[in-house]
Amino acid sequence: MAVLMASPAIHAQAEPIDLSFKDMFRATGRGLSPTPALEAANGKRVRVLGFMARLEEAPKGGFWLCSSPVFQDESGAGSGELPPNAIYVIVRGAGKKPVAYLAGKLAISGVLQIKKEAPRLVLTLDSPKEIAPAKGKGSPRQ
Amino acid sequence: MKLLCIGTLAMVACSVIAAPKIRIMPYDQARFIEGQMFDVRVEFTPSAAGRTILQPKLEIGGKDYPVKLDKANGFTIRAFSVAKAGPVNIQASASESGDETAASKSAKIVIESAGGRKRRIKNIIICLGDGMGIAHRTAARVVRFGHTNGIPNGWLNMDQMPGYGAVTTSSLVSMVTDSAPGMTGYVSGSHNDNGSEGVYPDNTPTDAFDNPRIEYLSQFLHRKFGTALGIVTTADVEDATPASQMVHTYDRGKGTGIVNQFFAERNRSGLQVLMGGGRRWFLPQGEFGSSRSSSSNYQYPPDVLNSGWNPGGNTIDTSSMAESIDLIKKFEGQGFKYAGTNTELKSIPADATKLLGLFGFGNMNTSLDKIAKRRTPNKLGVVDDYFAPDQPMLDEMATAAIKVLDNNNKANGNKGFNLLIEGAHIDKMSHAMDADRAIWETLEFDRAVGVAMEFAKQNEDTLVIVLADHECSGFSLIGALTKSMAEMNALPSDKDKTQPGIAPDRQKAVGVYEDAGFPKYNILTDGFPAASDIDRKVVVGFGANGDRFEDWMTKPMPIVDSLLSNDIKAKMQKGDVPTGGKYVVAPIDRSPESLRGFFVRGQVPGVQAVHTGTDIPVSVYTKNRDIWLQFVGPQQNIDIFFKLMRAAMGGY
Repeated sequence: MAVLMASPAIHAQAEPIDLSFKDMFRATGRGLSPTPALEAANGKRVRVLGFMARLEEAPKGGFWLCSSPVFQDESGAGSGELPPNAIYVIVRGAGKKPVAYLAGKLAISGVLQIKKEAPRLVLTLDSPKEIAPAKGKGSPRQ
Repeated sequence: MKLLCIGTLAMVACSVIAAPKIRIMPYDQARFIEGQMFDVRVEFTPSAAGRTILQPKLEIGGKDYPVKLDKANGFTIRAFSVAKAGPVNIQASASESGDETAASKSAKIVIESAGGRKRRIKNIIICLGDGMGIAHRTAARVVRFGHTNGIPNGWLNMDQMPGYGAVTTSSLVSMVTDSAPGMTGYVSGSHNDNGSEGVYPDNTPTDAFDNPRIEYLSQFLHRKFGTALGIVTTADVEDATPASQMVHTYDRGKGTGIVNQFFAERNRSGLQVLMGGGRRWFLPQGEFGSSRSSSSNYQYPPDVLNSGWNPGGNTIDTSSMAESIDLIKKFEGQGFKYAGTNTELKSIPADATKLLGLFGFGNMNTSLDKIAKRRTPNKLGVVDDYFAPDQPMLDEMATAAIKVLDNNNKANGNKGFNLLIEGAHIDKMSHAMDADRAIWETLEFDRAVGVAMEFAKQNEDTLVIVLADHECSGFSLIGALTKSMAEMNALPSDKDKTQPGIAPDRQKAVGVYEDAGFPKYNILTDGFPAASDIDRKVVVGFGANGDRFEDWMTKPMPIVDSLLSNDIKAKMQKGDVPTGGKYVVAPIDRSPESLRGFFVRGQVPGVQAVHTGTDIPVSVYTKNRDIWLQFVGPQQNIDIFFKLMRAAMGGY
């Protein structure tokens, strides 16, 4: 709910910050450390390029965005094949239904939140009215 | 008279319907060995809402057991066992309010003897190629060695084992299993439901950790002989196959609880080595990369802690169940040496007797991607995307595990060990219909089998068994390309050739029968092909496939969506992505197959290939002929448990 509440505060037409997967974390010994770029994007509207994870048991109301293509067989604890920097994307319009798989590279924009519990990175997808007019041929997927 | 009969029948039918339904676990015809622990659970379902169960009774082997119903109208007797071989009848009965008719049900279980006076096998190494059917093995051999005049130029390590047979793979609920019951059948002797590990089903679905348990081979042998346990996998250690060595849960997806159980019950199973991916479950909640969460965790059922599953009341260590725990530190506190990279693995002290290795946050990467990084260390690759550029190969992990477990043997008077070595991505890449990666995974797995065999050759009381939990994808070696890579790359696109009368060029490029010839790969010193895409390469088909485009080439990175805005496309074409790869524009799915490959309609729904119900091959190596002979021929998956137990207890 807090995530959903955060979105209206973002200026709908603001150009999103481009955030690259390779600039989100640095490996530090056993774990990962967020980069200043990631921390600066917390609570802001960002645009990330990635691939929708293809899961046999797809989550409901969202999907995982990864830096590279991912297949997930069986249940695998839900996210076994995912890189640790995978972003969980909330699709408000999907409600409690699985989001249909989209192949290929996707440009995803929405409000990023760094949370204290898994999933740590959550991006609430822009609703259609919040998406800035696309340049060129239109939105990433039609 | 006729009317009276109908009336009588109706009354009988009515009274049967009114009686409660009864479910007994273990299921009818379940088998155990003498002294093996298992839980007995009986559940009653009233025939109608509002009715209550009355006078529940339980009799096992002619003896009455006092019972008290729980909130789910059932009861569980924990850690039951039978000392002497023979059939045992479990009989339960009850009536319900509003009807005095008592329902009764029985399950006849069989206790088998495993002990004997013959020389015991002390070290059991289970090499588990997840999803590995016979065609995976054949394809790997063809790629690795090739043929001359129809004669294989060499054999895989697993081909060279004398005890060769076929094994069924069904679970308790289906002829097609998943990895959890596929593995637990081998090491518990019982069929489980799909998705469950070391437990029978119950009627409390919201609690995945209270189900009736079955004692594993590792737990029994540790209890009886002090045998150590090692678990090595290329998957996340939480995954079904590794967990199915010692974890009891009805839900294979409960990662936090599963990994907590590795720690909590380490002393009950003799866990000394745990290696694979899955660092995410060990990092404390709140730390980046951690997946520890309350939703996948649990509290121990009190009746488990107060039963024979927890000897002395202190064998199960519940001190580290909280999500905020740093489980790596906890393992280190118990004397485990920790390695997070291959470099660290090589630096483990030579006399280490406990080892925790976590080489990825989730699953480790595939051998094709790991080898690519080793061959070109300065080039960013898939392993960099996963923050794990320095991962060991499976044979390196097997070598380290055996060394540590052998140290245990030397330190504790040769009590022996059980070791699982799992090649997990044979299955995962077969699901993805990624033939080349699946073959490379089989090659990597076979190198680990070679490590195990070498130890067995030097240590007489060792048995190495190669199994698969099931076959995956209907993997089939159908032929070889008749064209060179240059010719393949020059073919026009086949993507629109979907009418039955129009043969795609890439379909026509498949050589079958004599046109397949003998593909010849150049194998480098690391044991893997210099390249997967060679002239006249091996062609693999999938009999249990989902929809896909096929171009027969090694799967590269996907490509840019043509509908992306120009600025984004420009970034991707410049390589401004984690891998630095340069992408081109394409509309759908894995590319470039979807641009140039031909469409193959899957026989199954969903986006992936699936497991099949076909038998899998088993290969056994031990110096003891009397033992490996037992594995020759067709057999049930659960038979494997009894044969291993008889080998371990001298009763073969």
